Amino acid sequence: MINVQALHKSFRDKKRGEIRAVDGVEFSCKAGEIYGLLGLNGAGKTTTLRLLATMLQPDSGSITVGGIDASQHPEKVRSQIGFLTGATGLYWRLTPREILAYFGRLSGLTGEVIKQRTDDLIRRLDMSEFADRRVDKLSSGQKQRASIARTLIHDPPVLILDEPTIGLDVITSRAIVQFIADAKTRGKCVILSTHIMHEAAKLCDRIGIIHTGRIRATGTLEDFRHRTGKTDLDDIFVTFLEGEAA
Amino acid sequence: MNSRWTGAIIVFLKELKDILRDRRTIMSMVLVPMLVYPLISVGFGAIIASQIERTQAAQQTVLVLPAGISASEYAMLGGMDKIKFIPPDTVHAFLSAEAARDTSLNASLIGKLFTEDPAAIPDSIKAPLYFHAIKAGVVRAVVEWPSSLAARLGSGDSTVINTYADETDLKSQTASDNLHDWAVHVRDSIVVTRLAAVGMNRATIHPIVHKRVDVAPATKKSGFLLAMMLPYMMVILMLTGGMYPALDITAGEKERNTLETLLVAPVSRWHLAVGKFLTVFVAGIVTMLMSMTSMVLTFKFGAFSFSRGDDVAAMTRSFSMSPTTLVWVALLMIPMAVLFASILITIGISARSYKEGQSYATPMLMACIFPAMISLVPGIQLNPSLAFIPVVNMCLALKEVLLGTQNPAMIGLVFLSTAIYAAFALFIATRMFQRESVLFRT
Repeated sequence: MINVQALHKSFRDKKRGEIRAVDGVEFSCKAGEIYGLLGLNGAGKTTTLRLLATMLQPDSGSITVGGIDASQHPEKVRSQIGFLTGATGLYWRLTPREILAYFGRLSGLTGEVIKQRTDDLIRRLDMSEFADRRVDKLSSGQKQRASIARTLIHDPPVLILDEPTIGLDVITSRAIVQFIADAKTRGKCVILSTHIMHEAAKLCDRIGIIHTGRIRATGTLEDFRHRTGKTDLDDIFVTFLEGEAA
Repeated sequence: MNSRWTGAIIVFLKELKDILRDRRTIMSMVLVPMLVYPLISVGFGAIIASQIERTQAAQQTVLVLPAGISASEYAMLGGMDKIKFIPPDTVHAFLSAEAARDTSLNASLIGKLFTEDPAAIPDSIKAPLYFHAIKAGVVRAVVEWPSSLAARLGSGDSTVINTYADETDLKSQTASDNLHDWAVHVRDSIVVTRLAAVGMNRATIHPIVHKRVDVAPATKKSGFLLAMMLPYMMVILMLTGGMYPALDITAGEKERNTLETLLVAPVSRWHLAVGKFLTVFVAGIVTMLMSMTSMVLTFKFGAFSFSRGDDVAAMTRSFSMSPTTLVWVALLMIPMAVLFASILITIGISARSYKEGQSYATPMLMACIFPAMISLVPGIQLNPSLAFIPVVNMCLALKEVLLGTQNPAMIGLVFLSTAIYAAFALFIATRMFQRESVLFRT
């Protein structure tokens, strides 16, 4: 579903000069699979995901989503993607239903399809109570559910989730975890970034450990335990970061 | 709908709905432009009315020194009904009481001023005392009566009468003017008497009398005043009307973390830029239409009728606001609205937050206010070089259209040059939406 080859992206920073945020990242992810990018803050996770979502243009390397080249047809690729981060916001002065309609229209859906999908999402995410209330009047949990609905309105086969639980309370982040697991059973291809080993271990089929813009190791949790000879999740993570088993 | 435009129109319609739910936008787009003209005109009327009141105003109090001048000398001054004498004792008592509090006032000098000949005291020393009394409103002006006046005039000689006033104070200035009128009147009558004594009359020294007649009707003079003020108001209102929505839908999206969701939507950056531009453009146009509606209503039904001056009422009724003028004005403002909207969008998307956007937009507002003031300067006319200076050209063009003195070629040049700047600014704005370093500035 997703195939990333030799991806590079540098930024120029006034103080630090050129920063290689993504330095040769390669990975792939199939439909029905959850691929986790695990790394510290600043490891290159967000840049990688933004490149995948065509928000940024890579300096070199290729990304294909469902066989479509992202640099050739960025808009086609975007219509395949649902994107969500823990910090994603909503339009304060609109209602969840209006926001869903807006993103539905931007995705080229007809009014009829939008109405049907909206009703479906409102039911699935238990949003009927607040679907017609302005966002600035919603609780943070309600906002998060509305954000999930926004991510799904165009029924994308690929989900790109950048630290989706960051800054959320326990109840809300449980809802997000549930949503991710749910997406997998529906056959979505999910790319997830996190800096928490436990979260990656719990959700992901495969994990790529990213550090200073490179994938240092890829595998399942079992592979990692085997390769490092350690059982504690944090120990495994630190071992790879220090390059002992790279 | 042409698919080339679909994305931009979806964005535009959503932004419009969004900003119309924002109280700040409604304030700057509808309320302020609707209220500004009635408020200005009422304020204007009130100022003119108070001016009239002031000129017809009651007498101004005047102190005559030295304290002991004779009744016949007072009688000479008595010819002016706008002068009211205040007993020197009152002022003396006031200044003495002040000196008790305020050590900067010299108490012994005050005593000297009211008992001896003030002409003997240098101006630099007594001026602060006079100023103190004038500032407190006890007296509006001071006359120093020359002791030798009667003797000198009797012998055919001349003398100086000093009057003291605070020329920055309206009432003191009026008193000073009144005293001057009195002095001129007395002088003239003495001249006539002296001429008669040698067998001559006024014509001997005034062989020619020059009389100037202003043929401009009152309405034209006042229309001129409005035509100077309106372009300035319209340009500034259009800018402020677009400012809040522009920042809200650009920097505001960054601040609320909604920009990313929009960038992942399958719509091109060009459509985003154009949709947002259209929103701000419409906000500017709506502000302009609101302010024009308010202007027409204000002048038609005359908020000026609150004022007392007949001139003012005539001015509002006659100010030329024909439909043709309004169409000209609206047409001219369109490229200006495009220019402003593009610049505001560029500023907004370059800013990291709403607040930062405001701090960029404020200098821009300043940069427009000063050139816009050119319409307030009388006598400046559009010429081919001024027609290329943004804002200045628009204000002058609007002024000439409102006055009905426009040169169509020059107006066309203003329209064209503004349109070129506007197209360039719009191009820059759409380019800004393609730049990663702008969109993801942190």
